[in-house]
Amino acid sequence: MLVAKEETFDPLAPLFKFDTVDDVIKQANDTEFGLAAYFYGRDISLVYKVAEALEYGMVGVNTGLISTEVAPFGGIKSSGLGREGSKFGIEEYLEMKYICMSV
Amino acid sequence: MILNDPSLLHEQCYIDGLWVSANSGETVAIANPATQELIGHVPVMGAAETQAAITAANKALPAWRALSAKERSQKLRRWFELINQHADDLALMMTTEQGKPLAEARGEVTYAASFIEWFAEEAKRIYGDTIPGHQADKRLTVIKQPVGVTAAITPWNFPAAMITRKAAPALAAGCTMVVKPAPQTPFTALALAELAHRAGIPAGVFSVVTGDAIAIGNTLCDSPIVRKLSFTGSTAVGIKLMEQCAPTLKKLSLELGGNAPFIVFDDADIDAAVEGAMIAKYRNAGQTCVCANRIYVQAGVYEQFTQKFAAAVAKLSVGNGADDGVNIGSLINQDAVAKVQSHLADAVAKGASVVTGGKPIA
Repeated sequence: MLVAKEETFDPLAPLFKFDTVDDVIKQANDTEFGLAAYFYGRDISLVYKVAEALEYGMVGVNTGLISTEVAPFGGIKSSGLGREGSKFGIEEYLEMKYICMSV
Repeated sequence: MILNDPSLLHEQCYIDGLWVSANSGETVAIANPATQELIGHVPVMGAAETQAAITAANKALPAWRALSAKERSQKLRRWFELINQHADDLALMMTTEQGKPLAEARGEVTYAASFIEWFAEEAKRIYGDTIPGHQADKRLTVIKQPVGVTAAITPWNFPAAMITRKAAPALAAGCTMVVKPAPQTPFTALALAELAHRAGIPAGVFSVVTGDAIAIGNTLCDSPIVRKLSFTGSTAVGIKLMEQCAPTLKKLSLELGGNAPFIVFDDADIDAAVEGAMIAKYRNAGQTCVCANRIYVQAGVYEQFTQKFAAAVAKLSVGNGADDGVNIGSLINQDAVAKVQSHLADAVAKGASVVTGGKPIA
């Protein structure tokens, strides 16, 4: 189904029913993209495991809004390279130079 | 569009501290996507003007990077303050050229400014390292230096924030930058340039070039002077740019497409999940890279969630983003309308049912 594979980028909201945690993790990760993911749940073990299992650069847990200048924004897989914002964001515009001095 | 400060609306590009037209004099008309009304014209620039902006950025680099971090920080701070002072005008300009509701545009201006505030502060915290020597007479240090001349290619969905998220860290680090904004949303970018100018950011440090996307993009990618490219947009274009930047081994930041899953487990707070899904799905009419693309709901709460979510969706007000109470503004163009219809038709053909909506409005 196109809407499950492609980036929609419009106000269409498809709902899919799932049964098990393993199933939904598999479906959620079955994409070339890896930018943002969101989930709602309350069991703390489940929450931690799902947050780790999602192959995304950013995960919102019990929130639908994750963008802020203080956190690293960016994705993995075909969603890109590097991070913007946060203390990490400035590194994208810096070179590291190592200086070895004999005294 | 009636601005409090009409001098924020520029129909020329900002290169090397000056407002300039295309060498050819050619311009392109920019229309409001909600009403199709003409907003104004911007220059159709190409390789030569882009090259001039790169040359200016290179010329400005030594003095800009030689400033103390605090001096750069103060100029960025001033830029941040000016953006906030003119937030109403910037928001109206953004809604007029992009379509998002005014309240969202106002939110984006604050968000855009926040990157400048943040990196004005971070400019002073670019720390290096010392390493214990490997021999008794050796002293090892690691310093951080600006990459140099950088370029940014930015999208239409966040006309202000995607520019400041790149320009603020670049300028804070001591880099200079040439920006090519999205063809659909040049006026917000040019207004940011006007405010950078007023903030005292020197000529050539931040330039904005509008026009022929391919010619400008090629010039930025091919230039050996440009040491880094930051792009936000589609994965297909990101791959193309990466290929084009390979011969000059540019550093790259690529913020590309998403396909965000939104998962609701049986033990979730369903009301909170509905509220979160509304934000994650419908921000900017679904036109953001982090928008919920696929909503997965566990069997035990599927009916309950669907019912509440559909009720919330049915309450959304669709219209011209400039009008009061509108939650969903215009999509950016007819191609976007056609895409949503093709995705919907495909899903229905494969067994999906439409719970609410399902038709274009106007």
